[in-house]
Amino acid sequence: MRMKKIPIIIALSTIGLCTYAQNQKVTFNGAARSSIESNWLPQTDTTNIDQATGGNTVVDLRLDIKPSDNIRLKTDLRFANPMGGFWGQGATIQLRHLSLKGVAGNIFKYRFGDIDVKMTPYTLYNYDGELSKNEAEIFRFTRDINQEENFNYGNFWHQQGVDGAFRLGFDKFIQSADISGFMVRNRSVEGNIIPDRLQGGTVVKCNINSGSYIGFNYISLFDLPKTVSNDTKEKYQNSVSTAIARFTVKDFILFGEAGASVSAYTDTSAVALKDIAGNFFEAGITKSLLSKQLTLQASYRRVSDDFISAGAQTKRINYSATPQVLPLVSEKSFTRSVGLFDLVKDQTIYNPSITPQLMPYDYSLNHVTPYGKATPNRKGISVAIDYTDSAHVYASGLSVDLLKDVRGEGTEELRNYLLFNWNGMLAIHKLIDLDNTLQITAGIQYAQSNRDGKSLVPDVNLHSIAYDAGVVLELAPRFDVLAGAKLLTVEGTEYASVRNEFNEITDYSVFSLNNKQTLYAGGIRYRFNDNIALTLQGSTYNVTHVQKSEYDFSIQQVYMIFSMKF
Amino acid sequence: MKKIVFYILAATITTNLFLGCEKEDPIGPNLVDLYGPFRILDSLTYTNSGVINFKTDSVLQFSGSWTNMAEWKIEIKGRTSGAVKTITGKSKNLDSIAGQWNGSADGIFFRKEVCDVVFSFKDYPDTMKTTVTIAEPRDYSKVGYIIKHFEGSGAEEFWGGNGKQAKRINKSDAPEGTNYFYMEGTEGGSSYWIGSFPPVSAQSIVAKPYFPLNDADTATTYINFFVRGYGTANTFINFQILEDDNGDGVYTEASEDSFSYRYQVPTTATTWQKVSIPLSKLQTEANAAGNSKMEISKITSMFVMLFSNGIATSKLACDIDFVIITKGKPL
Repeated sequence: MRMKKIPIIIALSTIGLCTYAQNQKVTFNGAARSSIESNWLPQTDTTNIDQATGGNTVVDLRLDIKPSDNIRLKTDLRFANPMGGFWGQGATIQLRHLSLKGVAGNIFKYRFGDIDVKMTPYTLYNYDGELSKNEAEIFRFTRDINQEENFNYGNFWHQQGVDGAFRLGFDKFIQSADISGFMVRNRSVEGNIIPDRLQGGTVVKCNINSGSYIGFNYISLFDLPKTVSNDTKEKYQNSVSTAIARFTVKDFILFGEAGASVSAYTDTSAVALKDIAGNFFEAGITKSLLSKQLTLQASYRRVSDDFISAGAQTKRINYSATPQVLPLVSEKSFTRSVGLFDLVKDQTIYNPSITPQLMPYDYSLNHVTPYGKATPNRKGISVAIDYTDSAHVYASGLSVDLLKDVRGEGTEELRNYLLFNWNGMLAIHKLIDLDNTLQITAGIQYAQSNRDGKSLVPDVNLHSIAYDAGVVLELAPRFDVLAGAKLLTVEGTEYASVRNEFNEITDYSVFSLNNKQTLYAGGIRYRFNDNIALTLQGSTYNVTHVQKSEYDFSIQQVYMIFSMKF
Repeated sequence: MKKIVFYILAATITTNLFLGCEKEDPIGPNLVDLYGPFRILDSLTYTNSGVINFKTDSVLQFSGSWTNMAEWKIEIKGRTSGAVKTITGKSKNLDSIAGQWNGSADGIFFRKEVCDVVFSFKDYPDTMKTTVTIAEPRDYSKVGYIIKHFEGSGAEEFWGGNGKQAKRINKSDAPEGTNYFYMEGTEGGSSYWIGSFPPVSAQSIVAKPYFPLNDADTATTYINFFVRGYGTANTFINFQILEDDNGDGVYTEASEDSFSYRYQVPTTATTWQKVSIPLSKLQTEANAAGNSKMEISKITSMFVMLFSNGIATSKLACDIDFVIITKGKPL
């Protein structure tokens, strides 16, 4: 929506204001921020553009309109002005969110428009971005902004469509049943060649008691028939059906989910070109101790190599994207790939839509579960321990995934995988009773894959380790010093699978990595109150290769942001 | 209800754990095929019994197999003619069409002769060798419309020149057959035209007023020929096509189009070169008077000329052989 639509929006706003004045059925809130940044390459880089500056000012005005007690209309208008867009040049007004929701007959909840949808980790789930667990505050701050910009709230997918939910009460066998469903538009018709694509899902959850339930999930991503006239264009459908259960026995929670996927490609006369069926299974147990401060969990899962679930396997980060900040680097003047710096700084690398093809990923970040729990061709156990004391002085989490291939890829030998995660937080100010905040965070991730090549082919022996550390020091009331570091090293050999449009492996590319990424950041922040803050950050990002030093590069950044919520 | 759920979960876990112990077939291409040690499984051979007659047998099928997907090359070299044919591919064997040879050559043609065949790999040192005897070479008359091949003992008419031009007969170094033509002339300055064969009409080649060519295929229809120079500068061969724009069956210079292409014989090209020129490269003649639109379906005849660039030169000379029009691909 560009400048020509400003009058319409202003009129809408005016109507809203009038309504607000008359009967207080409209409420406002919003957020605003203004940022400016400068990025540069070192003086030794004489080949590429050395410096890039940017920034903008945005104001998000959120209107919550209640025409009646059971209906709400939510809008989010953005007024944006890029740095250098003087006197309105380049300024835009965007309608970022529009939804209508309500309750019909005090029974049926419904939403239209922009909705956030989520089911289970095997059906519809927006997995967190890589290396985001327990991130230093200085990195979390910018990553959160980028995720908000891309509507990544929790593990929901932000889509456009309609959903509804209702609950039925029962006297026998079960207490109640929650039934919900949604239908969103995944893709619109393009050029009379690419058909409309929708995604719909339903969840039936039968609550046995407050801690136990059994349920059923179904989700389907499908091309809408007869939306194009091209006779040769194939139609796609990916359906996943699962049964889910959670059962509380004394202090133990048993949980499990099992299901099957079908991916079908047919031509317009419904002749099957490809029909791929897969399945998965997960079962586990959870035990809470120490008044639920300590949680232990163990589970086993098996996801077949042909299990395809577009809603669960689509990645949040698009690793094929070209980074926005200084993409050309080094004397080789090559286009760098998405790295640590971009994961926390770049808001253009986020993937907005669910895709049927398995997306590429960065082997140095997490090659064990690149598609989360739904990663195909994995089986094994997962163990997790989480501890948070009641005063929130300490928090720590440990998880280990010991996995194997279900089927060998190009060989009967199976890869063995290990994914180890630890993260911790220590609120020192609470420990020694200081008024000002002093908090440190840390995290380690180790990922490894091994496979014996039997002296016939190169062995698989790739391992990566990532460290994360951060500190928040409140030097004076509301004046914070922030610092953080991320280090990532990767070494070894792996085979990248080349897949066709049906996600079948058609070839491999054997590669070796031996490089290191570091991202250091420091800054200061003044919090005017809990909703308004001014932050100044400096970052340095380095990538070094042990054997290919000609591809080494570094980027420095200074970033200032004034942010407020109202 | 609790017990039922518990038993279902327990049964499913047990089943899957047992299933997990079974080793399933691998997915994807075999890694050993791609990255494993290389070795020859079946040596290079071919379907015929050492002798190939390309006039009766359309192709020679080589065979052989090895362990890995690999880029390979077959190089066939005629012992008499020196003709060479190179076939390349990427596979684990030669069973497919990629391992076939139809008797064609990269440059000058093969004769009735013994050929050495060398098979090699791009990434492995292994090589295989064999020999093939050509009983009859490939019949090129079926691959296009032959304009000039100079075979037979009859005289060859040539206009202009300096009198030293001549048809060379029974020559072992002919790129095709046994004859070729030697052209020679002198450029006194700004003459350009040195000499020419009489026009070759479509009627004389295909017994029709026009060559059976399609206008839409102009870029994929070629004039092909062999040429050998003598190091003389400013030597050109000019190909000129004449169109019957008005459809009256004859080319009229005053009102219809002609197009030409001047190929300069490199001074370094002192061995036979095979040259292919798409008709789309021909330019309209300065004095052409038709619709200025190339319509190859209306070509009535064609000139092959010895030309210069107008610079005074005491001697312009080259050999020429086997001028042929091909459709779809170069010779």
